[in-house]
Amino acid sequence: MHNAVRQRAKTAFIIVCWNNQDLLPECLASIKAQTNTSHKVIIVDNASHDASVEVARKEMPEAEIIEEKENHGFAKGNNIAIQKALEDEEVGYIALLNTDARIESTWLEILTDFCVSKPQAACMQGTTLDYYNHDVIDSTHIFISRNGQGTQGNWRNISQTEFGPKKVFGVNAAACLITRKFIEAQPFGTELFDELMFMYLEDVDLAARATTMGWDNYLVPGARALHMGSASSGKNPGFSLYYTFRNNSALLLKNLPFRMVLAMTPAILKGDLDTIATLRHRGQNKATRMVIKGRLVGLLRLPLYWKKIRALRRARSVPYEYLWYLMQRGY
Amino acid sequence: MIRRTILRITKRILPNNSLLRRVLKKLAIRLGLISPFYADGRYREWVVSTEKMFWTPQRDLGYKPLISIIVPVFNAPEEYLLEAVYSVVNQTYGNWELLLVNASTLKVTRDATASCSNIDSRIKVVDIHKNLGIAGNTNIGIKHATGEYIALLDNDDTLAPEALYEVACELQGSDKPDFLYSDEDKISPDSEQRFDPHFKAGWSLHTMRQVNYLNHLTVLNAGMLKKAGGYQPGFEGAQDYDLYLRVIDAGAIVKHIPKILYHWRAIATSTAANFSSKDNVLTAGKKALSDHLSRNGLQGEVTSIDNQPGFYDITYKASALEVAIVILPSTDSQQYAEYTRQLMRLVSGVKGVHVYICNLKANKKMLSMYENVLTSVHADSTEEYLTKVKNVSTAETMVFLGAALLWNEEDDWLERVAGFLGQCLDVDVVVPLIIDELSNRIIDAGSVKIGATEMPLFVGYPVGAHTFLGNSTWTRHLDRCSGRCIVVRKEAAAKIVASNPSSIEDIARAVTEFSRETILWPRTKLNYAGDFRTVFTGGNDIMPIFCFSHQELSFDKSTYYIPSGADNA
Repeated sequence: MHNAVRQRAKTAFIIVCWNNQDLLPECLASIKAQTNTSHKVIIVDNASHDASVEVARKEMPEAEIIEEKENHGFAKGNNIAIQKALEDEEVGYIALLNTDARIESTWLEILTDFCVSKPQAACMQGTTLDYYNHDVIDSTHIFISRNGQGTQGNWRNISQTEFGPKKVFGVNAAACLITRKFIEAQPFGTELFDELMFMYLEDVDLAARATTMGWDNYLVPGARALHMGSASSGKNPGFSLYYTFRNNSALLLKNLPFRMVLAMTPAILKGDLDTIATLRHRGQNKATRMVIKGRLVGLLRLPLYWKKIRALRRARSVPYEYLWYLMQRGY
Repeated sequence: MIRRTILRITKRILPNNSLLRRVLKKLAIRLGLISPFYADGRYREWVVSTEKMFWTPQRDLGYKPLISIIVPVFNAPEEYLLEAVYSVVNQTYGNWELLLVNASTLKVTRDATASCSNIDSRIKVVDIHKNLGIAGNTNIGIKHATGEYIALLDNDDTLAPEALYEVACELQGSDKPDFLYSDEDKISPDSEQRFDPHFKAGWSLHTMRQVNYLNHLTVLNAGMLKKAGGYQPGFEGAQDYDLYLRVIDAGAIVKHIPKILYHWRAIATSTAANFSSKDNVLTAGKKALSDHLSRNGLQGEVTSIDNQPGFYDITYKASALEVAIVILPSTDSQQYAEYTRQLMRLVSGVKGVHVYICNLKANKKMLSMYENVLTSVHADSTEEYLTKVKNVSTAETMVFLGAALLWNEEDDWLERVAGFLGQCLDVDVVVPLIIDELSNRIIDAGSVKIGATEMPLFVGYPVGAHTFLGNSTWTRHLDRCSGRCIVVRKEAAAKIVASNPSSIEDIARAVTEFSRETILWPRTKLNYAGDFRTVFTGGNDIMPIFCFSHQELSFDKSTYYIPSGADNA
């Protein structure tokens, strides 16, 4: 027990589920097939009204299932599970897995081996490929592009044989590993994800926070995962746009230095206008309303983040110029 | 196109170098509208199409030595230091250790360097409290290094992610090189732009004796480096040059990795952007080079070239001068006679020079005037002429000249080249640079093999141009020469003449076949008296290597260089 505490080599898989009964079996099967068996599974059910909980219990009876009374969203759901997971002293890593993501059998082994030599590692991911076409990448990393929008790195690029882990701006939370040390170093308790952001962009927020606090996020190409992409909310594009644009202003002002956001403002405005133009071109006029509403509501909600902005400003330790390098390229 | 129009308008409204223009330019750079560095679009395209930042393929290596990377840190801006450290952390080859020698005086940098040890367990920070200069600091790093090979990285430069992998690839096999060097380019301060690449030539000691072209990235065998004693004091400004020459003299096998693996940061305080010719730098370089010459038993005087810091010129001591200048026959006999007259005016005063010409029937007066130094040989063909000349002449050095090349009166190049051939016994043929004096452009600088094709060097470029292959005035190894003018040692001359050459092209072919080593020697510039427009079609007849278009991606420079079996001096 004492050795395990010192080593803390156990991983807690955390899955947030909302009406995903058809996706759960394959997801849980991929966890069961891991070569690194030192793990446990915690499933958070955000008040699903289908048989998700029963399916989960059937597929993996040893998993811990937290049944919530209402839909808290991705951020709070994960935070609840992480709190529960960290109560176990042996857990040293938290692995986040979407219900529409599946991991290869060596995924956990490769990532846990990797971060042994990296005391400053915060989040890691492998190459996440598209579930429907294994040659196409879903994401290798995430970053904030020049117009302030969270972007998946190498999205829809063809995957080639790759080597060489690299430090990236941030990782996609579809299939990633987070170290306990980083969670415990959060400026406000162990609330990892920002619960004020109900959905969307919390992983970009986490990535930006890790990078500005001086921690490292890595891409470890050998560990492969498959991701379907937006299975829970993809059915309603207006919904995703609203939340994306709502959270965007908060994301930028929380994590990035103010003068950087100021320098990015013209590009941000242009990006918003481009998004609206593209949507109108595609005929999705209602979505345009969502974008504008999201942006305005997001700006109005900024006072809610005030305490967090101040705390994070104090925690920022990466040099301004280096942050620009990472932002421009993502890696 | 828009950019060009804007430039044209600004040129009209704002005259060159006016105050308003300078202020607006600074403002535009601040706003990010224009770049403060000239970045050649062609190189940038080539970089984008050849570099695979994410997808560098690798094969399994059998021998994976530990490579120690030493970074002497002295008050580097934090962002450059982090870029350097993370470029090592991102290496695709895993068996490295990074030694940060923390000699900074600023607290910010000291703390940043100390915190770098948290990034990776292979990073070690060596704290020293007194700055011993870059040489002393690196020596401490060498002392702490445990790897089999040592690589040197500056605290504001970055490595390509496949750099150590490429180095390790060269170390497989039974004959492991002791000294590896790679190509490099420059990176702008905002890390956005890459420019000014230097695709280095293969290993040639003669080029090294003129300039330290090995520069970065160099990986040395740790045992040899420690035995050579690391950097020595007293060579500040040229400590790398001295170290490399000492290691090479100790018998290191040198290998070139023809890939861009190192990015040299161009900032105002580093030598990349602003090479100032401080006196102590020049003296240190000269001392390093003279020590090298004396270690190798060569006698020569080292001077530095005036407005080219870092380039040196060795005047090898010549024993008694014995040169035979053989002017190849030409069809236009009047032009031939005129040319001979001009040549005799240049060389008649020089002791030890004898000139041979072919079939000059006219102008007996000239023949009688220069009786002792000019000989006319009667022959019906070039082969016969050359054979007869070789039978008659006993000179140590022979110069075969096409009838359209002349040199400056003040130039004592004959003594210098004879001295060079006399002392450097591995060289058989020296080829001087042929230029057009009026336009000061290079007409002929020999040619090299690139892949399967032959490429003439620097045709059309201004003399002294700084190109992607280095400066055009560097002494280089050549694969082929054009045969217009060659200076040959007598043994090689015998072989060339024995192959019965009947034209300049035949001579060139014979040189390729029989010469052990052909050197381009741009210290001497011969003026092409003919019409240069017959040589290159004017306009844009610039060398193909500067077209970094996508079709030129097979830029394999493997045969530009001395074959691996050659000796090192």
